[in-house]
Amino acid sequence: MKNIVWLASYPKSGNTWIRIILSYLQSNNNLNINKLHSSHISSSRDILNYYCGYNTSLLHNSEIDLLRYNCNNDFAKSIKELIFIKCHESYRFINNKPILGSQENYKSIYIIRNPLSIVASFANHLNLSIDETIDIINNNDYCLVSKKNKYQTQITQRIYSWSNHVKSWINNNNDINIIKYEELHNDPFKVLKKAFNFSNLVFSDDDLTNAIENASFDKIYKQEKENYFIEKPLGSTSFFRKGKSNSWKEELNYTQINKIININYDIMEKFNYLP
Amino acid sequence: MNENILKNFNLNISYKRIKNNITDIIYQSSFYKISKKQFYLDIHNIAKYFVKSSDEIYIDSYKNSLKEDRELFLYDSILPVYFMQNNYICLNGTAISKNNKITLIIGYGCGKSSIAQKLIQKHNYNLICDNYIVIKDKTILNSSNILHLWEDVALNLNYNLKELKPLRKNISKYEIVNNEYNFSGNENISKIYILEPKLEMGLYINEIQSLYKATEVLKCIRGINFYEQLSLAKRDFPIIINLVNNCQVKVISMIKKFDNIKNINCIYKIIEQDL
Repeated sequence: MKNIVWLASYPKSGNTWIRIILSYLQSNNNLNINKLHSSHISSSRDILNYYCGYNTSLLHNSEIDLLRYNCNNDFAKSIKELIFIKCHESYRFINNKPILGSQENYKSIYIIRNPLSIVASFANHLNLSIDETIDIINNNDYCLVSKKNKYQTQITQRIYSWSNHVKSWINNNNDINIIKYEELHNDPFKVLKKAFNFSNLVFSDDDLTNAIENASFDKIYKQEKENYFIEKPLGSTSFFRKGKSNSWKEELNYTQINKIININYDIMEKFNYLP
Repeated sequence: MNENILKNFNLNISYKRIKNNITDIIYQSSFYKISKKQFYLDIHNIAKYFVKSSDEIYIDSYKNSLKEDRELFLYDSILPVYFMQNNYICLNGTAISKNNKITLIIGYGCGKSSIAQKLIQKHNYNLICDNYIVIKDKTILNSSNILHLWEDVALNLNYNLKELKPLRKNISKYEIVNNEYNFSGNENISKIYILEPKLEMGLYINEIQSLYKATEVLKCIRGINFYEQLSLAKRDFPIIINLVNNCQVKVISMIKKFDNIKNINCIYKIIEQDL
């Protein structure tokens, strides 16, 4: 039985929203967005240090890459119950082996969102301009947690450009369920029921309906405003911004839209994201 | 390399091909094997290490690895396991001294070394040791005048990076050389600050009961995964209870997501108030 399910996505594609719903579904308690059940992440340094047996903050990225296949396999052996793990990394191979470990150990749910919608959300998250963020979305060398001047609780994650991120996941995984954010937005019950059944998660329709209702955007937005959200980066005004799927029409100009399409055309066409 | 450690513990370290024939293995991963008295760890591209017995460590170098890298990982990752297998308690943290009284600052990833260095700079404390603390009875057994700081903190403490030696090439962690302190070994531990990252918002300062204090100290054991695998808590708990009963212990919890430098400055002010 595959006990690991990667919840994979390019940043700002709805990953946290699904984790909040999952958290409510799995705990059936009052929701606290700072105590999510599925708070593990594929790039956790603690997990890497634990299974490698030493302090990996003294290693270079290329050295860490060499460890990850075996480390993730060891991690998978220790997992006895179904676990969902957030992943923003692209699906990469080192020496022909996937860094996330053998595919015998996991399934993947990949959440894809229109890059035109991602831009403004990502710009808010990074506290950058729209144009700077478009350059990031189009940048095949972009990495998360790339600063090396302090101790990082996560390892550096290669993201690639948006379209190459998508391709890396959908072209290289046999056991994958793809969720379109826009379809999730329109009919979360139908989309998530299929995804959670795919994952072998045990739940009832009523539980799922309640979880979706309690994790509505208005409620989690309100929770963040009243307290704090641990995953909000410093410098960003809020993590949960608008919760809409087509706000790019008001947020991007013609030049900006074309800049994204030029680099990401093939995947945007495949998923009907071309305007 | 910390030459004092080798002298104080009569350790023989030699370079040879390792056969990795550990018997009675308690736990193994793809990277290490551990038994009650032996330990094997493969740090790819650096070296394979074998703690063979109570006074012998073998190193089998990878081709093209650098001597200073082999020594760095020996000190950082192998020796703590050696100590725990030889009945010492090895805590993750920094020890400083003033007026013949030792203060320990322990925890994971909360700025222990940074706070210690500030106390050394501003209040004339002396460095006993950094990185980890080897304890027997009520005092410390290892000493060094070198402390390690990440770049962001080193800059915040007004160090000139060009004058500092990095621990490894292209890793932004540096050696800070302090004055040599003639540590007699007769000073007792009088204060322990346990720095604890939390996910909830808030600042907590606790004067706490013995059992809880001892549990919090145990959480700061260096190489906690090996410690758990060797089931050493039963052996050490009475010693730690005795330790915490004879000194002042404070747990300082701080939300880990705040700015690193702000966190450190905030914790420093709390400790400074105790002086």
